[in-house]
Amino acid sequence: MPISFQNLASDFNVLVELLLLVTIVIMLGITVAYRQRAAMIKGSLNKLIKSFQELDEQAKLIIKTDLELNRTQEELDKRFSGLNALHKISRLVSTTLIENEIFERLNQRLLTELGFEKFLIITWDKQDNPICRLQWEFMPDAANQIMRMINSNSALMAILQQNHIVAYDETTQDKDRIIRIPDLKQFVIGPILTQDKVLGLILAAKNSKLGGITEADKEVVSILADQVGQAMRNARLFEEVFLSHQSLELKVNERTRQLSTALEEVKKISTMKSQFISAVSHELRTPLTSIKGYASILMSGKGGQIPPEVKDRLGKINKHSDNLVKMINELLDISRIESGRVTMRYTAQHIQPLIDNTRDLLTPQIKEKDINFKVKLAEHIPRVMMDPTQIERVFINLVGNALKFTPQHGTISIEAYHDDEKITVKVSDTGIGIKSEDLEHLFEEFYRADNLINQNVKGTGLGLSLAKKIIEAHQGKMWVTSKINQGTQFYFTLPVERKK
Amino acid sequence: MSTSIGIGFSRDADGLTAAQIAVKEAKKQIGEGSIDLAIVYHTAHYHPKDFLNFLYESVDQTRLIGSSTTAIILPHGIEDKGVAVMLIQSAYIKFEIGHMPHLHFQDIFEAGKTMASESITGYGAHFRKFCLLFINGLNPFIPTFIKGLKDQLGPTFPIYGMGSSDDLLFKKTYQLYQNAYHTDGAVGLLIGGNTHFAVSQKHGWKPLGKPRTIDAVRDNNHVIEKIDRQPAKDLLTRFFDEEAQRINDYRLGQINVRYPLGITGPEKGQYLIRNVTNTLDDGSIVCQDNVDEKSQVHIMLGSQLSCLKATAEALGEIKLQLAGKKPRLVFIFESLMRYQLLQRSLDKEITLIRKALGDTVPIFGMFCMNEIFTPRFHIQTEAPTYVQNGSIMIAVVY
Repeated sequence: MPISFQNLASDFNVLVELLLLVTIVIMLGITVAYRQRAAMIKGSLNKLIKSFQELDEQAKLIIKTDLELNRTQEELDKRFSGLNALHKISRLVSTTLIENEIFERLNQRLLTELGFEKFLIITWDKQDNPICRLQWEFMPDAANQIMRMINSNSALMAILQQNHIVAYDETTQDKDRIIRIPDLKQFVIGPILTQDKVLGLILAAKNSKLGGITEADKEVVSILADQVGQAMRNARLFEEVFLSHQSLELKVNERTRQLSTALEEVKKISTMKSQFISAVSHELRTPLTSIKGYASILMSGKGGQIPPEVKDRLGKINKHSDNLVKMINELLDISRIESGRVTMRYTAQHIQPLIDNTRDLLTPQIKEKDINFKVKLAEHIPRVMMDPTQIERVFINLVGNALKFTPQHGTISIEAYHDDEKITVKVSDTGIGIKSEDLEHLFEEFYRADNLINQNVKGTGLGLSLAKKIIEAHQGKMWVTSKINQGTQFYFTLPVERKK
Repeated sequence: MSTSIGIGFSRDADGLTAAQIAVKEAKKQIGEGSIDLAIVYHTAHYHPKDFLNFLYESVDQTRLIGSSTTAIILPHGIEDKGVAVMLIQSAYIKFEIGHMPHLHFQDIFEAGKTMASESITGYGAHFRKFCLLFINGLNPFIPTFIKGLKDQLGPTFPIYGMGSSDDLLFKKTYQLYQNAYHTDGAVGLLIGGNTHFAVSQKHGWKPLGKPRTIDAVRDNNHVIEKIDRQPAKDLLTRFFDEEAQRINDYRLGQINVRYPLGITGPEKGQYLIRNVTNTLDDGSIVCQDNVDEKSQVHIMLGSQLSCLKATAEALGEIKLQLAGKKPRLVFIFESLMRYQLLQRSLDKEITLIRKALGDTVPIFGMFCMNEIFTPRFHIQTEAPTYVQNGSIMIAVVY
């Protein structure tokens, strides 16, 4: 079959149409596929974006939590480290009672541990002038500037008096600032207070821009101010007590001086008295000897017979002269002992023989009154250093007195006991006893207790005084205890013999 | 003659007295003989003019370099105030020093080249091992200066160092060179001879949230204008809400210290830490070091634990490099951010270091604004030198 051009053209057109149709179908297919792919990609992209957004949200949450955790941790760290340093500071400042030393002990390393880089401590003196006690890392000008502005800054003073801890940093509004110091961006001011007075202030500052002032910082300054305040209070109280003690000591010294002068005066008078007594006694003894001599001659009848009445009177003259001589002798003895003119002849002796001698001497009176005379000496009583003649006088005096004041059938006892240094002798009786008001005067010269016996029996009032002087001359002591109607106890001590 | 190292320290309030005590103590440790090198660190409580002449004379005008710092790292712990002096006497370790003052007034690349030439010229024919650089941490052109140094020292030459710091006011730092001091300068120490070194740097920060892209930077790449086409500050606002406002109040506040930016580094999985120092009214944020456009950025999260772990990892790497050899001296350059983050755990870090490297090894370190580090594994092929924040760098001479 012949191929016509027309047919060919028509076939070509059909072919083209077919191709177009196929192309369109393919294109449609591709478009659908691409759309599906694009939708898939878009979906994936959206998922990715969403994942990134979620990642960011998670990151935000992590950061927020981390920030909070870090802040809490830092506050805890600050408090822990601050309290640790404060504990050390407390130990240092509380163990001194000298105000200046409190500030000398606040060393730089410890203050650094409180978390600040600069410290200034100002206190007020008694005239209310500010004194810079501690200046660490502040320029001298800054410290002077602060001190100049303090007293005139009523707002600051009000804050201090109300015990407010104030903090400033770069976020603090300008109008709220009560203190301005160049280059001081972050600081805390804390008052040093007593119960009723502002003693000073602590200014602690941070130099760098590393975080602001926190509550922990304020707390640290507050505690430090309390510690310093307490230490200052203690130091000032101590100073007051010390000053009052000093003033008391001055008064005591002055009074002691006055008493010493008075004592010297008394001693001087006493010496004069002794000298006077000695002189007078000597002067009295000579005429008395003559009187007694003449009375004896007259009594012996060598001057002619005398009537019995006269003889009786002469006897009284003689007896009174004897009493007077005895008194003068005792006075002379006291005077000699006081003036140190009597030389004691010390020997190491037991007291037993002296007691025996005394009993022998006084046996008639003992028997006469039917006195139960007891002697009780401790075992191994040591020898004592004494002048036996003088100590015997003491025994005779004490036992004699006891005999005088002990009624019939009474008891007189002598006891002795000892320690390493001394023996103590006790002479006691069951006599009438001595009134308490008489006891303190008993050893005074010429003092005689007021009682019925003394009113009837003569005495010089010098015996006990002399006995006490003899014991004191032996480096011993003598004292007395007594109760009315229950008897009297005399005690004296004597030093024991020192073994070589 | 072996190598003798003496370290002296004092926190006396008077700068001259502190220096006198420190140098006396250091000299006592090294005994008789000439001093080959003196390195001095001082905190911002002191001005170098008070003690530098004295120190220079005390060490017989030998090579002396130094830097101001926020705190000094010593074998017994961290000292936040004081003057520390390290003296080295060695027959086989060779030293040379160079310096460059007034960096702001110079072509910074050329300045780096000049300082390197100066050091090389003085160093002579000994085998150079590495360079220690102390540079003003506030200078924004540290990477360019390092490029200048490497232009002379060689592209593979390892450079370590730090940006001098101050009392965290970020106002003025000091670099000490012989009896002169600079406030915007650089001093370098070339170490070589018969000695070896091991070195590692770690930071311990981990990325948080989705990755973002830095779209626009300015001012020598220190200011990030846009992140993901939004004002850069939005990143901080998103994560920290109102806390972000406080960033201007406390320059190194909580946010900066704990959540720096992490920029993806040249190595896979590596993040260079960038401390945000300020936010601007136009929504830009200012970084302590340079940030490249188109790099990815993350908010980073750190903790005392992660930082100490990083220290332990760095020590692990060093021990591998030491292969049983005994360390002679340990240099530590540690970021201020870690100083703030670790705080009371800083002593734990010293304990870790002493436990790993020996109780008696001399440790002489400081806290710095930036840490300059050349990764050890690159040394044989190429050696990029990074400026980093937030890290600890430990360099051990053995």
